[in-house]
Amino acid sequence: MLQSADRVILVTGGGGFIGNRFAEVIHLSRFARVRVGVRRWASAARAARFSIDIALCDVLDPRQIASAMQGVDAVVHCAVGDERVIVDGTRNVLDAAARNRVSRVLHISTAEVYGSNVNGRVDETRPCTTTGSPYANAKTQAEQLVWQYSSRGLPVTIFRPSIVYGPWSDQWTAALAERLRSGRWRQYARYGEGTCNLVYVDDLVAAALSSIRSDRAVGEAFNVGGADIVTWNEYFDRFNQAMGLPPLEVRSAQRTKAKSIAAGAVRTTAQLLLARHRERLRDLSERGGWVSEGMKGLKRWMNTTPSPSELDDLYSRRAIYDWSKAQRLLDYRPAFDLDRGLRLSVDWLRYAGLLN
Amino acid sequence: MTAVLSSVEPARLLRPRLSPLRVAMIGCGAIAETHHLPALERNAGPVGHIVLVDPDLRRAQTLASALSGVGTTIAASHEEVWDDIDAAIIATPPRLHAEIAMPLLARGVHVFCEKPLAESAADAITMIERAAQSRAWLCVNQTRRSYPALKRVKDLLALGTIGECLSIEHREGFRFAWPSVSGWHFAGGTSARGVLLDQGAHALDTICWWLGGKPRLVSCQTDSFGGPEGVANVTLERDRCAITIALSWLSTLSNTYRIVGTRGTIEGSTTDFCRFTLTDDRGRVQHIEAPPARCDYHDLFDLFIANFLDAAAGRAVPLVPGTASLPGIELMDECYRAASRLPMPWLDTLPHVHAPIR
Repeated sequence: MLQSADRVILVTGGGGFIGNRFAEVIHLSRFARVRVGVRRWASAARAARFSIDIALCDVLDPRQIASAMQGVDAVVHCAVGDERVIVDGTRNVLDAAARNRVSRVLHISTAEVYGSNVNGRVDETRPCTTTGSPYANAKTQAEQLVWQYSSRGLPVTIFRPSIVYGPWSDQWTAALAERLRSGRWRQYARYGEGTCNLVYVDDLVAAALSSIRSDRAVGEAFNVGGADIVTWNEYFDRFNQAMGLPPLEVRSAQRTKAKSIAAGAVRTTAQLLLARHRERLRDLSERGGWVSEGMKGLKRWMNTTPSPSELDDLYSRRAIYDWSKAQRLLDYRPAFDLDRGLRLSVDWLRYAGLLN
Repeated sequence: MTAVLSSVEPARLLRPRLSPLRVAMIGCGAIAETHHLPALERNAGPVGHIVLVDPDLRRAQTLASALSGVGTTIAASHEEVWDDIDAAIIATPPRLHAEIAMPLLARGVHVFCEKPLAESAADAITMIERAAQSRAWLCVNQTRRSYPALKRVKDLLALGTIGECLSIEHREGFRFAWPSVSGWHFAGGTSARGVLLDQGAHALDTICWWLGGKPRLVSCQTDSFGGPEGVANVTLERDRCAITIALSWLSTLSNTYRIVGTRGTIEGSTTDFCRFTLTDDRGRVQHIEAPPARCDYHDLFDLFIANFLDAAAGRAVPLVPGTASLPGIELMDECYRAASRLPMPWLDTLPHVHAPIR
């Protein structure tokens, strides 16, 4: 068990949303000494503000991992990317951790390992399954590797958060704020009535770090959720209110679907064009001017219209990820209700220059 | 201080040099690879030899091998070559600019420095004085001074086209993506200065250049906790003009400037080198395209490197001599001295999130 603030924790994926947050919490709360592992120096801008130990740690480069792992007592594995990064990268990290006999590996996984076709309460006994999502499939494979290393004696704990939001979240804070601010985002009737299993990022970090102190957490997987159970429509509306924007209109299910299909067609065409003429389009975009502005406008329009898969697989999914096991074994209690989490998110949006 | 220095800078007589230049490329990082060396190669007319200087000799050799049409050697330190060169391009981390430039200038070597000229005004002044004493050129790569759009904006401000300037808003931010080879921006605590030093070197210089002098600092806030800041917000004023500058390495901002005058408004994108809009006091909008209509970083580097080589060969004066960038550096110094921390309430919650391990 990790017991001293002099111990070193390596955070892989330390340039990302969740990895950075782990690093900040570990450093500022003096929980331990932190080493922030980044894939490239350009990813280090956020962490470097704290003048902390930063190491190149591309999880696909075993030599970099071996170097970053020197003197490390525990690892928080947050690195994420394409399938290779998720699967091979996890294998590399586990391998180095086992060779260095670290006292714990916290593997940050996702509730997506349960698949998208789930309903009702989903606890950790639900089998992980492969789905049509490359990301979810890769995370499932990565978990299988974690269990293999666990069976060989590596102390591991897996966390399966769902929708992690809060300051610095690209997907559920910054991008959603942009969608809401566009004036084109709506509540989507039954397509937005699925459960939005939000967890504020600090609650995830707190749950995971508390597990380091618990021997009972070794070899376990935990769902981590937030204090409120809301629908996606409600999340959109409350986030919108927190930003002080005019009330969101409700779009009928029929119009929601029609618009989504149209945007999907435009998106597919744009992707095809991008695949065939990437250099030319980049050149046009970089040259500035009206063509560039038009391209940006089209991108903004696509970004502010929900895709069919978002509507069908996520916003209408009626699953609740049960985190009572974390409550029972880790004494986990979310400290951030939605109002507080949104207030802090909005404060961050202002700091980041993304909201006036 | 700036005015005094301008007056001591010698009026150099242009004495065209006949023999080819021996040029040192000091610092073989990403910018040397992507911009300086290709520009040197494209403008190699007056160059007889290039020596690539970097503590990482393998890196220097790799970049040397990619050059063609001109002789190259490599060296680990500028000290090894300072008696054998006529001109040097310095593209090291800014904190090393003064340390490297001073002995070169003392030997009469012409120096072209990446921006910012130095990390502190004191260093910049010493460099400028040394250059003046040795009659070597000290030039700085303030590329924005050659953006056609920004030059035209300066002209319009000087002509009073929009009347008295009442406000300037400059917002510039991208996720940091510079393909740094050494990681000097962040690695091992080698620099405690961030976006204000990097993008601020452009923004502050442009504002001083546009206004013909250094505005008064009102406030500066950053998000540094001892390391290089990712966000900096600066407010300035000059006469009745209120100036706000927002800089970020951490998120994409609008990347725009907006200048409001008593008789009109100028608006443009910091990424559009040639175009901006001018709106007069009747609301009539004019889209202005400053020639050349198309230019990119390669063109700008060509312009600056060719000018530096011409200056070193006695055939031109520098586009941006060191003295010109001093007001911006002085302002940057003032910003860092006055900087307070931006409010970040989401960090205040941390102590309640987790008790330390005991």
